[in-house]
Amino acid sequence: MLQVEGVSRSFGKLVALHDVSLRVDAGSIAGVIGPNGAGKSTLFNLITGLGRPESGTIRFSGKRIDGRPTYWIACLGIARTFQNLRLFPHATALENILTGEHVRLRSNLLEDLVRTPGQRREEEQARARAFELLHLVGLRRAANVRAAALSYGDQRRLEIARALASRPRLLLLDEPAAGMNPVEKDGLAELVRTIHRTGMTVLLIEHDMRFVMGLCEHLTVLDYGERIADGVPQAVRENPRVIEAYLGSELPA
Amino acid sequence: MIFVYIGSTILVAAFGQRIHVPVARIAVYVGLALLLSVGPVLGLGSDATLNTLADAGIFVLLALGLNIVVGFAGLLDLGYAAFFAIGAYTYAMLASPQFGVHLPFWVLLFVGAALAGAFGIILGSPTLRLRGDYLAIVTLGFGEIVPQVFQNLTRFTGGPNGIAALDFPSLFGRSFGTAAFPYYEVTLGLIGVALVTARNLRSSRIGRAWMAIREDELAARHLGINTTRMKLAAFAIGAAFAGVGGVVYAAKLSLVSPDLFQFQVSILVLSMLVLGGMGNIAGVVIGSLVLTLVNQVILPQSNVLAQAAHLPVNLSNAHFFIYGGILVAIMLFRPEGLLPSAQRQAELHESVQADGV
Amino acid sequence: MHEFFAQLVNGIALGGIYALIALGYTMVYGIIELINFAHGDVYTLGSFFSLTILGALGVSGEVRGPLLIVDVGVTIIGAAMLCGIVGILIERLAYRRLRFAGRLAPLITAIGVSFILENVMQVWRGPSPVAFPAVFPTHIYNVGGVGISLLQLAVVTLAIGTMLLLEFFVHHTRFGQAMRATAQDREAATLMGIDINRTIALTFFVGSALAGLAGFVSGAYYQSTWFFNGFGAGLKAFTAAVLGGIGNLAGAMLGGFLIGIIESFATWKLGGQWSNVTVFTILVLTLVFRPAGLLGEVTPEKV
Ligand SMILES: Nc1ncnc2c1ncn2[C@@H]1O[C@H](COP(=O)(O)OP(=O)(O)OP(=O)(O)O)[C@@H](O)[C@H]1O
Ligand SMILES: [Mg+2]
Repeated sequence: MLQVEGVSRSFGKLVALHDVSLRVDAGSIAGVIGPNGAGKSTLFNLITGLGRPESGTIRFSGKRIDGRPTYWIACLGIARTFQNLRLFPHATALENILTGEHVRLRSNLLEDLVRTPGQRREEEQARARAFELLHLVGLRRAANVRAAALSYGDQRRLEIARALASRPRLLLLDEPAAGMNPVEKDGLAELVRTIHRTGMTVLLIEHDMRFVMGLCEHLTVLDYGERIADGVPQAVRENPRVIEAYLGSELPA
Repeated sequence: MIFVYIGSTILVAAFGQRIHVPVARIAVYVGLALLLSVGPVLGLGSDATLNTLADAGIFVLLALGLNIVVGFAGLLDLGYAAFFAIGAYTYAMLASPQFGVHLPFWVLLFVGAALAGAFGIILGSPTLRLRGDYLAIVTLGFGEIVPQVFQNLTRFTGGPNGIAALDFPSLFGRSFGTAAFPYYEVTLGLIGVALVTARNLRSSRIGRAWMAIREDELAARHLGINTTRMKLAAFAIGAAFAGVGGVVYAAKLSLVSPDLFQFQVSILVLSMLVLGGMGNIAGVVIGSLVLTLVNQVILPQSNVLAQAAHLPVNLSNAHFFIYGGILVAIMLFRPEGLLPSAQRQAELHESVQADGV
Repeated sequence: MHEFFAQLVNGIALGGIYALIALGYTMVYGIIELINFAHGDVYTLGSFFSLTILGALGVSGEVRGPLLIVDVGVTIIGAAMLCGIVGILIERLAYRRLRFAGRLAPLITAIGVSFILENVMQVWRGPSPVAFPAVFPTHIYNVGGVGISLLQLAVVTLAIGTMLLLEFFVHHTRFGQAMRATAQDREAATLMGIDINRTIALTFFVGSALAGLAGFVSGAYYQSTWFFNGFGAGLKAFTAAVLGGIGNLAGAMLGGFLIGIIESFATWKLGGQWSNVTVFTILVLTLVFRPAGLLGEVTPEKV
């Protein structure tokens, strides 16, 4: 479904990614791991059109997407969350999700302006779907709360719900469990599994080895912008280069 | 009488949105609309009063338009008067002896809106990807260029003197003439349309897209929102409002000249928004009415009083000070404007409940 | 051909004034990313302060000999100091509170401050143009057939001298170091023990003092000023700063001279009524096609 081939990207003298390749098969849960500054978020950014790779290609469902505008890539069916939450802080949880439905709604300016019956029906459906998503992430009762007033864990889950609102085919999660306690992390893993069961393809970045081991079917390990390992979790965990990269920080359990 | 009209509007706008029973709220608004539209028919209010109110109404229209750009989409437009000028000159050139063209007012309302909107798109397409403060300065530059061009193209626009003796609009064969009443009613009707437009747009797909751009443009793009296009839409719609306002303004004054569309006009409208609360429709209406009242009634009145009391003050030039003071004071001490939206309050209220759950 | 050089000299002198104002815009933008809209009005204040000081010195016309240097020196220093203090006050009272409020709130505030200053000056000095004494001797030097006045020489020398001084100041003094560190990363600068508030205040002082200097120069050059002068001149100087590359001192200077020359030629070839349109068109075109300006670097968006 997603094919990243030989992608490189640098910022001035710093090489954030060098010749990195990665595939994500439709219907799978895949993970990208690596120490701080390894280039994981940069990889996500390139996939969603924030900057273009200096070399290499990115394909989604066979279509070249590298260097295309972000909104266009989002319309193709890639949604994401951000490492440092990017909700609309002054909007309510419900409004955040409704905004996520943007690409699925058909109404044009004129219809919005005069509120045609079709537009009203669509708005009704959008709200119903938004409430379903709120329910899915356990925020049903917080529908009218401003995003900024939610707890950190709730904000993380709201951002996932907002990403899902566009009915993407591929969901990118950048450190979704960051800052969560073990109980919340388990809840999150369960949520990701639930989402996966609906047929969603998921690619996630994570630091917590335990979290990815239990969840992902396939792992890619980055270190200093290089791909140092790639494969099923078991094999990756035993890879000496991975152990070396994680030495001193977080040993794979 | 003017205080009855403006005062009741301000009160109703301010408290109308606090009323949470929809039927009651609609009833209150309809009552106000009736008072405003039927009152003058019954002879409530002199010609001078209606004249001031019609002028105020044009500014309400402008403020509602600018609110779409600044309040909804979060784009600071400092050259808004340029679109106002384009609307006004559209009427002046196409309904006057200038070229011997005499198109009807009602048609020109649409032409003015379309032309101003088109200029909005022409200016916006290359500039809307600029950062907020740069965009503000570009629009300011555009706002300086437009009246200057109108002033310089003497052959078409009458130069610094502008174009005079514009046609009076007419309805069913009856000319509006110089009485204020018909202009007042037209303005009122247009404000009605503008209010519904603004409200409908805000709570729909496009309104949410604007909110997203205002709050976090990068996140908005990741949701598939074509930010450039949405900003252009805001720009064009806002400009179209100003175009309509310009047509009415020119028709009512029966005259246009470049000095009516200076930077100060853009800032006056911006001050109205800031005063009432950017993005808040009722607040914007209140802000424009209050400032019009200050400009047209309170300042001249206090001047008369000051002179009667032999005080050595002349307040007729205090406009600048008041606009500037409003901008600074509100930004520093109450950035949400005088009228915090009831919606926001409700949200805050509910968040307290939810935290308790 | 003769006219060409005359216009060039004219434009360079005008450009010197813009350059002096542009330096203030660029310094303030460089450090807190604010378009200090009131800067043009501080420049007008500079003219009015100079008028007051000249009045106090009893200067009402041409001054000759060493006294010229004394009178001009006292006036310049006085006007610059007063404007610098006004700049610090504006920053302290209006902008400091909004340092973390995004880009638009401070800009709107700056416009408000500009309107207030204009109104204050209108009340203080009246709504019409005010005459400014012709301090400098009117002697015209003939350089290869082109007449250059002492004043024009003074303007250009002052502008270039000031920029060189500033360059030295920014690159070779502790304050300059603090300024650059603050501009680059405020948090890191704090950790390094730099007093951010003082650094920013000092930046405003220097920028506003330069505007005061420009105010004196322009008063002496045009022999008149009025309360609204700073609006147009400020916008043109801002255009100069943007054209040169905002945040860049040499860029402000280059932009200032270019805008002065362009305005001068536009007035000559197209007529005075088109000069503003020309300059603002350049502003719009620069921002659209080369927002980093001639000497600036393009900075990528941070995620
Ligand atoms: N826009 C940018 N400009 C300059 N350098 C950048 C930019 N984005 C990322 N970098 C640098 O590229 C390197 C990789 O960053 P990236 O955010 O991709 O790492 P990461 O693997 O996501 O790390 P973390 O686990 O801390 O999130 C870092 O050294 C970072 O400083
Ligand atoms: Mg990261």
